[in-house]
Amino acid sequence: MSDEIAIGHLQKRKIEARVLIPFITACREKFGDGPTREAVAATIRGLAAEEGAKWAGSFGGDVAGLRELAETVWAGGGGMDIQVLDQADDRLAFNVTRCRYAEFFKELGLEDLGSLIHCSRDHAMVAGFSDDLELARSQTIMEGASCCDFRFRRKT
Amino acid sequence: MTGVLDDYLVDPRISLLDKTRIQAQVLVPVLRALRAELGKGKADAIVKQALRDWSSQLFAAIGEGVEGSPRRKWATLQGALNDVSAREVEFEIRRQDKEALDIDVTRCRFAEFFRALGEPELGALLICETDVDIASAGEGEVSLDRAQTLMRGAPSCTFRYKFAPRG
Repeated sequence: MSDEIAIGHLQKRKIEARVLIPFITACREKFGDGPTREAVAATIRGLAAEEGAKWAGSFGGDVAGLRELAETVWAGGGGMDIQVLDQADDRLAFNVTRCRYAEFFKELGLEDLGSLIHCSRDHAMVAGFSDDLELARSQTIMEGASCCDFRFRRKT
Repeated sequence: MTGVLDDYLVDPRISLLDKTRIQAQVLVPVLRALRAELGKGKADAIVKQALRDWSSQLFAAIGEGVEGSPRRKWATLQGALNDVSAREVEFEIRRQDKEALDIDVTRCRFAEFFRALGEPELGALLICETDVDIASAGEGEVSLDRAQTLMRGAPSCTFRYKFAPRG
């Protein structure tokens, strides 16, 4: 399938969510939250890792590329406000202080699905983006925190 | 710009074909994972029920927001859908008068996309059933009979609309 579609990242996620939400909701009703979460999360992780590898090809699979990715793709078109705190060859720290992805799911009252099909992508994305980098994140806006604390660092 | 189908299209700047591709790109892997876990029949039944419920509720809500008779609601919704889908299809109008509208669609890029993907049933749910849900907005005054579709492998889609006499 071609994915060369010129469209903002936020809009793409919204379009995906429109069709994923009824599907996941129906699965939950049928099988319960646990098994649904497992099946969906595994697939989303696979897609995110593929996307990470593709982005590494576009931006370079290092810290500078990661920052450019966050600032142009994720935050592009006003998708989120990012405050970079620290950047070096082996680390990148930024806070997301406003997230329209989270706002989209919150408006629907579906923050838990937002965590599952949006936020959970990021760790798998980094794995596809670079073998050397990993993400630690202790809180997200989707889960009710005031900011998301993205801390990327070189694996030890 | 706001349009009658904004809730369906999400972003009117994106073509309906591209929107559908984006949805298929994420839905197909999830569906296939679920098939691997549950078996094809069970997984497909869930996606069918989920997408049918979603689509019929969505278009019922859009229809409620349009002023006028059922016929007027249908014409408004169908007109808006035609605006965004006409470029992806080739068709011939066989009959058009106050009682009926007969259209044969002879080429459809949506059907080509989903058939190439090997997921025509998903395509039927995401695309073909939209016409059925929009016809429901005209219930009582508009009915649609469609015996065959390109999506399901026929050489054409045979849209046969009947209109109730105006009172």
